[in-house]
Amino acid sequence: MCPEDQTLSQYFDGEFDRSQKEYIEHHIDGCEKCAVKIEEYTRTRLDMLDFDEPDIEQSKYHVYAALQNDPRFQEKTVFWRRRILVPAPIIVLTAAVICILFTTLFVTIGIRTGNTIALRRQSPLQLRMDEIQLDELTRYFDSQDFMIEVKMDIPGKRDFSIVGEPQLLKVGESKRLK
Amino acid sequence: MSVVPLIAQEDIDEILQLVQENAFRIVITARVIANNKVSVWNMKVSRLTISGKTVNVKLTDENIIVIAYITPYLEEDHSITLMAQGQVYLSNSKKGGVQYVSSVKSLPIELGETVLFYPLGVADDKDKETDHFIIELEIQVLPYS
Amino acid sequence: MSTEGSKQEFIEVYEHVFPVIFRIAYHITGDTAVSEDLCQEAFVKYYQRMDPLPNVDQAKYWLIRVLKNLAYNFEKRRIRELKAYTRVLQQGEREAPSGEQEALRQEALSRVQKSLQKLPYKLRSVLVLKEYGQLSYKEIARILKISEGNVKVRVFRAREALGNIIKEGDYVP
Repeated sequence: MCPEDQTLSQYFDGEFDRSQKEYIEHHIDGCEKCAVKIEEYTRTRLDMLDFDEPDIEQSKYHVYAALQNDPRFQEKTVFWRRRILVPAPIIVLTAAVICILFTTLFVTIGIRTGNTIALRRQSPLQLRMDEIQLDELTRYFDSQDFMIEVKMDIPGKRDFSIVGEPQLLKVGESKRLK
Repeated sequence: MSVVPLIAQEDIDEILQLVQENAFRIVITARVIANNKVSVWNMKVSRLTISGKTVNVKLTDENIIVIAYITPYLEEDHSITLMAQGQVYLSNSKKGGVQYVSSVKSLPIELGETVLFYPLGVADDKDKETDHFIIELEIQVLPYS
Repeated sequence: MSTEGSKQEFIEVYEHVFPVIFRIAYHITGDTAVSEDLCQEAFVKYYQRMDPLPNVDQAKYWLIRVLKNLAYNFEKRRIRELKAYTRVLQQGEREAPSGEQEALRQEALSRVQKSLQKLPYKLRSVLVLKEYGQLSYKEIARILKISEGNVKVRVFRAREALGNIIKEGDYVP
């Protein structure tokens, strides 16, 4: 007797334990109607997994760049949750020291005004992405081809399978024999 | 919001050049390995990228699609964290359906160091399975210049 | 926790979870720009959490839950705006501006995405969580705060309905 379609759907989603799964698989092997149902579900799933969806990596990059510029992403109040009571004269003194220090730095480094920004040539690696117009950079890098698509052309029959947990290893830690 | 004054064209070129000087070149060699021993297929590509920008490799065959997303992150102390995300879609010819496996791995690395990414895993040498194939991605992050 | 450590953890969560929630957002809303905005909102909320979650999987479930709520609110707003424009402009022979925009948007979507958009929101969201979020019935039940039995029924109905829409072209409840 055929299981209900809802049960087949549940089996298709891998929601059964091993013995239940084997029981249903055994039934499907001998039942055209249920095999066709599973085929329909497979087709629907493959249609949904159609790779014509938008470029996720592009969006991931856009959103990451947007996060860098989002002021809410920069406020992290975790370390300042505690309220610290400081007498007013000390606040005034601290503010004055900070002003003097900032003015001195400003004069020393000599930031250019006008239509340009200063590039901190002393430490280029600290060049912050939010000092550059992101859409300019994005356009430049978007013009590069970041999705490399390759059809593997392997002679003979090949049977890929998932043999274990995916791994990222340094050379030398790899177990593969040379 | 970033407070960015208008930038003159010469400065954009200068900035782009500066970024290129600090960009990475990612070199990826993809291999198909039979029975943990023999490479039966390989291909090598390289791409210029910057910290946080992903290079993707999509490998397809009759019953498999593997997409690897490789992203280098330059940390403030100038070290590099390499993120490798693998998505595998494997069709099961016997039972029908599509198996899907996703993984994200990260590793601190040095410039020029070689790492290996196995999106299908690595079989144990003790496995007696005949004729199995796995995919190996050899990744190197090099300075652009 | 040091800022270095928390930044590293955020990046790890971002890398792992972004593709999942972006796919979910896209297949619920059908719009790339909107999906990017929803993902940005979700990650800002995650960043602003005072108590970090113990592992990436917990972070994933939390973000999916947040994203689902944001997407649901977006859908409600869009339907409300469409209805409001329709009422104000007394749509009869003339297309309301948002009706035109909606038609253009639909044209641009892929065939499958168009079919998905025809499903009622309750069925669409559960199937999207299953197929693009790669979640079990138990996980979906937790996120949607419904029973597992309910999830099972909705996934089944959604799958059957989507299959029919792709074949016949329209949703028949």
